[in-house]
Amino acid sequence: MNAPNHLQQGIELVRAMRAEIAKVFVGQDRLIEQTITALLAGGHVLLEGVPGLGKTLLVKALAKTLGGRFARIQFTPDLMPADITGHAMFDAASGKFVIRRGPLFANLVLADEINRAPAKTQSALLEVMQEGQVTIEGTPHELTPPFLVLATQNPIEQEGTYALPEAQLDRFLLKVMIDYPSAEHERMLVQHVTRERVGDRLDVEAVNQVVTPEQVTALQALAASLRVDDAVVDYAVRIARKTREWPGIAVGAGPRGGIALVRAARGLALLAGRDFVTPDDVKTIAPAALRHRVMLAPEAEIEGLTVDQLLNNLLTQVDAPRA
Amino acid sequence: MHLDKLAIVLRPRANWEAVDLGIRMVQNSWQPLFAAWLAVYLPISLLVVSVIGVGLESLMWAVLVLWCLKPFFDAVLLHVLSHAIFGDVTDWRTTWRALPQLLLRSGLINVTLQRIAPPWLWWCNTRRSLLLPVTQLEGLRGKAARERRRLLSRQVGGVASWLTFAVVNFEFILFFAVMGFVSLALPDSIKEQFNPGVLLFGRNDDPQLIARITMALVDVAILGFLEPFYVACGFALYLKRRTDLEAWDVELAFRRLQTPPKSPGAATLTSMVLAGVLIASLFLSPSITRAETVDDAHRAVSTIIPASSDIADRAKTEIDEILKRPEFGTEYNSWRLRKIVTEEPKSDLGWLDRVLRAIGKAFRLIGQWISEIGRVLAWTTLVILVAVFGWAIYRYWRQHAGNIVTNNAPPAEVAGFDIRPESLPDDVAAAALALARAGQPRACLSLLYRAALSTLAHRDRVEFTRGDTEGDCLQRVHGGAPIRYSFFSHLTLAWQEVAYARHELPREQLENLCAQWPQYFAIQP
Repeated sequence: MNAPNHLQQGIELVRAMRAEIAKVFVGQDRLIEQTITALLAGGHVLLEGVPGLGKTLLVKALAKTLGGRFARIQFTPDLMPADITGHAMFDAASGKFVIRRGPLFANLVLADEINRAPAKTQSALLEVMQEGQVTIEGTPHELTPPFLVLATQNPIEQEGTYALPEAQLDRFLLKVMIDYPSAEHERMLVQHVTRERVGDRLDVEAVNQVVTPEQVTALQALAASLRVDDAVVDYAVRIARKTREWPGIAVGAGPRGGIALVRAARGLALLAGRDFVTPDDVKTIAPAALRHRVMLAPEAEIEGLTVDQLLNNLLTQVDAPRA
Repeated sequence: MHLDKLAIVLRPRANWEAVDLGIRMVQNSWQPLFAAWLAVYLPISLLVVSVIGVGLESLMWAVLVLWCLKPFFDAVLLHVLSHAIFGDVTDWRTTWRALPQLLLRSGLINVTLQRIAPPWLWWCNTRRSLLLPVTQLEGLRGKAARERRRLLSRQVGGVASWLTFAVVNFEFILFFAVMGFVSLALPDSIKEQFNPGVLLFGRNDDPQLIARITMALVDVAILGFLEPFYVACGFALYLKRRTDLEAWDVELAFRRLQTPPKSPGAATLTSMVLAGVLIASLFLSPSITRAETVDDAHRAVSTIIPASSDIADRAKTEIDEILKRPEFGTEYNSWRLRKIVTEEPKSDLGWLDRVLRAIGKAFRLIGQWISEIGRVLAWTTLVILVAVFGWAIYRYWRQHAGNIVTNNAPPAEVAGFDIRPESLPDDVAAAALALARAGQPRACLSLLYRAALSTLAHRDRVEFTRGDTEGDCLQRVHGGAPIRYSFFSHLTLAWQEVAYARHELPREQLENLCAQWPQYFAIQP
């Protein structure tokens, strides 16, 4: 498989990835769309949803479409940074220290229940996400691109968890909420998973590899080159700035919020088959890109308002760009 | 009864003063009183609490049994007090020995009958401390006891009831104060267990056992402290009433006079003079009621001083003479005529009458004004209600009859475009075509798109908002004006490519859009 040289080839590859994942991951089109968007934008995703909605299946299917290495880390309170990054070990045969690489040396990493691990382990992961390299015994080791972390959080069972600080949440490009599928989609899902199947192991055999890791890197470069009009950039910045003065939001998004909006909008535009970004791309991806970058004011919490409700209200009030 | 051995001073007292006397009685002899009282009360009450409250696991029943036993406890107290006022100290052994007799004479009857008496006899319960001596000390039964109770209650019954009411209230206040203090001093983890309602009516669960026992002990302690005061105050009221009725103070005074004199002649003379003065003062004293009659006074004199009938006769004669004096008044009958007026008499109050009439007229006028204002307000409200109702019907009809989706005025600007009709040229398609041919594709598409939005907002009443992007507008058109959706989506796509991608569109495509535009937007569908 060759790297996509021009736009049309890239669009076809992205569509093929989406179609392959949709074979096994039924009824969550928006989730697939946002995950691929994050992959194309070179960002990481924080998934929040109750257990059993197919987060692992999504990551396994995505890993198989690009043929990359996939690793799953179950975060627990006793997980140490070296458990995920790797460590140096003395090899008696050679009489030397050898580096044993941790599960982070993969293209796709599923960090399951990230808020169950202590802060130092979370910080180690988030540092790797930011830098794209792992330091073991003082030696930096570059991670092979593409590198995408999908961290999951459980909104229930908060007992004994370590909530991610706002500054670290900022490292994630998108925070995606997974909800239950519709009745029709759930029926299709049950039929698909139980047909001639023994046990409940996740099966992604139906998924074919359609891209290589190198092609994904090329797709990321292609997405980064998509045209974004000044009016669209201005629109993204106005949305990010508006969160700082919006009633009900105690702390708004920083400049990284506007950057995330434009990056994610580029990925979404490529997924939509366009070589330019429209205000619709920004508006569509804004809740996922901003919901973890703002903090709800106490009075809004008392009134029972959610971040998503406030952001949706905000988006209807920010003037669309004057082209 | 040996009144001369009384340890208290008998004199005419006001009702509440007598209650004070009861408090003083407890204060003066608190040691023997409480010793004898607690010796009986504590074992019995603790037995009740431990057997019923703890053993049978029902604190409510234990409290109820203690409440039923109150008259019996009062009898014990009265026994001690009745000895104490004669200076006779009763120790706990004597009190215990007297228990069976007390139980038989008063306690048992009071426990079994009075506590479950029908409501019309509850007044006996509310005056328990006053009336207890009737059966216990006077030994009266049946009709005689009833009449005696009525007689005793006539002047001091109200005070006795208030006394009971006050003591019951004080009992509650003390109980809740102590329980409140206990729960304040407790850690939060077990504070919940000290809820009196739950403790009283719930069953005995292990975690609450200590709380229940604490509550029962608090109740027992409060009762043990208050009941002596209650009984003593009631007993003092009883003594006051007896003193009033039977002139015990006078009797005592005479008895003192009767003490063996050093000189019989002088003593006789002195006693006669004093008797006269005392009896006179008896009649003049307004606080002594029942002993105020002449017959009573005579009887008192004749019964209290039986030693010398000669003296009595002489005293009687002198009393009769004194009573005949004009200061003691005379009785006579007189008759007169009185006119019975059936008609309302005319007032001749003069200026006061005029002032009152003017005030009345002013009030009438104010009333009339208020009624007029009310009438106007009522009609106005009715008219407004009818108008609002009519407007609601009209609005409903307009909305459901078809053309107008909403009354909200369209915004002046959508997606950054001025969509007011007056901002558009008369012939939009021609103006756009001219721009396209002039090499301004962006201006051409901008005009077409803006005019399309204006038409959709003002004619089709599609609800756009200021924050709507091109995609949002497309969705709204799909729902609000589906017949224009197809062309509008092509127009939107072309507009986006020119606006955000800076693509150069072929002139033919622009001319086609200009040509099709009037078909969808210029002509009424």
